[in-house]
Amino acid sequence: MWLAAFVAATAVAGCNESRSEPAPTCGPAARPGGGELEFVRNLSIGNTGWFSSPAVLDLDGDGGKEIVAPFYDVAVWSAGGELLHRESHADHGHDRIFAPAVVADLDGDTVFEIVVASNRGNVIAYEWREGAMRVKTGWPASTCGEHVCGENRSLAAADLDHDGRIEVVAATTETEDDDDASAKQEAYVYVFRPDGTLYQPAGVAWPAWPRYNKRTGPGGDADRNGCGHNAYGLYGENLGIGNVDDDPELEIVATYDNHHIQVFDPDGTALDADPTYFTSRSSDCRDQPLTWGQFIRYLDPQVEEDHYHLHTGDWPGPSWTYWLQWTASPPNVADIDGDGRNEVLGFPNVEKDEPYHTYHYALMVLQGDYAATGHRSARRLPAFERLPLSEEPWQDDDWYPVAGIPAPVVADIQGDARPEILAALNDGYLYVFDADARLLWRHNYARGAPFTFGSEPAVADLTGDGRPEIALGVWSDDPGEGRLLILSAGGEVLHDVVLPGQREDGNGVGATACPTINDIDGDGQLEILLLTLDHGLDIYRVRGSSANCTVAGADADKYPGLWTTGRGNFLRNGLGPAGDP
Amino acid sequence: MTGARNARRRPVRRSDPRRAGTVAPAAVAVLVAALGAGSAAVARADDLPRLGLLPPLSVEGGAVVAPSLGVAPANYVWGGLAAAGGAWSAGRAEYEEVFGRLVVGGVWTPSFFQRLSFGADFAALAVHSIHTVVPPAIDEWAADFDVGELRVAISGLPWAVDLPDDEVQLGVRAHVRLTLPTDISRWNEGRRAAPLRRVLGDDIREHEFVGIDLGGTFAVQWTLLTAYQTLCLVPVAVVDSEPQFLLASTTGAGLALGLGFELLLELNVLGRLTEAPAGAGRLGAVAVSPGVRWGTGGLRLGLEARVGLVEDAAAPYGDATLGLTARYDFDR
Repeated sequence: MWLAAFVAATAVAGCNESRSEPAPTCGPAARPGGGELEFVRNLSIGNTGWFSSPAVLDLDGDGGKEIVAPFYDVAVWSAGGELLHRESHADHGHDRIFAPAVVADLDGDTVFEIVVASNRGNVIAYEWREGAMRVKTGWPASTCGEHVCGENRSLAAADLDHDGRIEVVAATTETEDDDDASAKQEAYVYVFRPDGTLYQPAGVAWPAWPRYNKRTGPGGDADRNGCGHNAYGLYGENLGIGNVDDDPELEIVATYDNHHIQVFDPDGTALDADPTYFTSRSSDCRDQPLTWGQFIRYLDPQVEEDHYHLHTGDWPGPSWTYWLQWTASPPNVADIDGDGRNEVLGFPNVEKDEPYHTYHYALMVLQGDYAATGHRSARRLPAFERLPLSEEPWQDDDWYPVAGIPAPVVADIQGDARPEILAALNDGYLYVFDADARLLWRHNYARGAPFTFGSEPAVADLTGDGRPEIALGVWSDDPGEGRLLILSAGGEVLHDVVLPGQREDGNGVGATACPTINDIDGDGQLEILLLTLDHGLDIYRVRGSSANCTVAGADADKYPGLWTTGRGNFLRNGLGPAGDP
Repeated sequence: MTGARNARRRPVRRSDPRRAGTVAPAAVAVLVAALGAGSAAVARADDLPRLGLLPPLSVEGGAVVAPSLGVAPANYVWGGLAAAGGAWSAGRAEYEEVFGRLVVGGVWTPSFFQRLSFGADFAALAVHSIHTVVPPAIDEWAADFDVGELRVAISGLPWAVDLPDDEVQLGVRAHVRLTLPTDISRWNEGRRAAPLRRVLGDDIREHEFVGIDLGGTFAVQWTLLTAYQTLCLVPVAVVDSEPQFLLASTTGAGLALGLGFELLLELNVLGRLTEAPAGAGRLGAVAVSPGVRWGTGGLRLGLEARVGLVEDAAAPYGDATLGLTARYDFDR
């Protein structure tokens, strides 16, 4: 019997090996046939790097691009590798820079800003003036509480109200202790104007930010829907921005370490989840509506149905059912089902048992708040009623090497004009799901080696055939384990390159940050920039490649592909190239 | 043939008459007495009794870290072909494995120095397939074909006692065995696709290693019944990594049924003395192995099985092996 089963298994396994390449997403390049990798150079200032995917822009308008790479210090190199400026982290009291920097002209004065979030509560906007970074007037801004300063590991930006100025959103890992009755006890998410002050929309009577506040009444979080809001830290790129309702303003999505995912209007108030479905079962605020972030999401839709809608059955908890945790799960806003209305998606941890044990990552897609669909706000998109799951991730018991962040990427790689959702998860696989929640393929980037992690992937047509390729960095513990991996749209390995010059680093070795793909030197060919934990920035040229496959309406010079830098654009808002208009 | 062994054990190449012991028939008491009796009970190199004890089971569907070795000196070749299956779960993920091995080996005891035997086993084919199901999205098979590890052993027979009236035989035999990483299955990309990795952990994927198996087997035969016990301490030296220490125990009993048939039952226990390395998962295992053999002349054919349970840090694991073994003893 076993032998028969084995023969059958082998036959099936053989079938799995042959993946067909999808239809082209774009027209082919004028000169197809590229794709060969050429190592160009390494740039290093001797700092450890984290998830701060570099930016490539013409900062000074001289026609040549600069490379902005935050480590602990912030380095700005010319396209040719000359170190133009190094901003010391000691000068402004920050430390490591975990999340990718926002690089944009925030206030439309033609001067580019470089915004970094760091620890000690610092959010600092620098202007690039006269070939150097200079602290912008009004900054640094702070996310410190009255007694505690946390690390800001989440940063995003967008023109929330379409007034031509870009707001900066930062979130902190830590705020006041539970015992502290200060007004900033729950203040984790901050929104700043380009001048460094807290964002306050016109006509709003209450202080819009930070959130949560300790106020009651209109705009207050302490008594929202009766029971109020509470939060915990945001530990890894936990912010997304996008429009998820009928008004034109953009919402801010924040994920927390207390099993909550919240959506804020720009005025700081949280959106209610579908009040005809989600109501409170708590005796303190029974049958009250719930905001998105006022309740824990569970893996099993029946548990949510019983607990939040029918108010029946055992009170759920990790002792008997799986709940979803968002400690370091970045959210994205995208139209997954193609109906012209956006959804919110992310990869939360699936936990059970006490102490909590992560058994999977799940892909959750939640509907926006639109009248046309009956305000099914926070309801699961029908195709995602049963959440696709990963395998069990490595159980990271000592934090090193630093674990991966399950940052989702939304891009059409199948050529069917529908988005796919990609993410490198901490079980060692890169996953590609389609818009109907089907797993198209997955690739074992870790090759079975434990505690090997993959970066947020970048997506661009590197071979010129109209089918986008997927590039990601790989890291682990020891020198030799850092790699650049390039896969075809069908999941075939095109390049699996060990990065040169790897060095011992107690935090890990290899490329943690999403690769940035850009034509840095203006020769029409694309370069891949990999910011590493251990040895600075590696630059590869993809010979014969070009920006032939881009997102409609996006700036192809800034974004020469479908997802070409960390969190999709240099505003880091998770919207992809179209999110930086 | 085992069935005839009780009355007429054949000293095939015995050069000297066997010595008679002088102690009580109870096996353990005999051993203690023999130890206490000093050199009178100790076999000399040129005075080895030809013990007819049953050899332990040897089927391997998956890798076995420290299989039991027989006590009696012999010259033989053997081969085993087995298939196995196992399953475990982690959260909502369910895994089923189907694997199998072809193991060949032999033992040579030099006629000029019968205190020592030299043996080697080699898994000439190790196949492994895993079915991963994580509903609703993942349902896939993966398969690997490899060779397995090479084991070489030197064993000795410092103690052998043959008691009066041919009713009780005792043997104690020590061995040193090296498990060498000739298997490439440990390099497999699937996290769980290498049985040896399950036992020794993922360190052996990245680093060369050698298992140094220090052990001994005690066996006693009384009329139709044979019992044996093997204990092995297995330090595993891993280059550039922490060594691991395992303890393996095999307790077995065999019964000669007549007409050449033998019935055996073993209890195998494997424990890890050191903390499980990252990714290892398996902390201890227990297996029950029944088998039946038939033999004629020097040939023994066996149908052997193993049902095992493994305690894991996160998920219990069970597997079952069924296989055929063949052994030819040149001295019979």
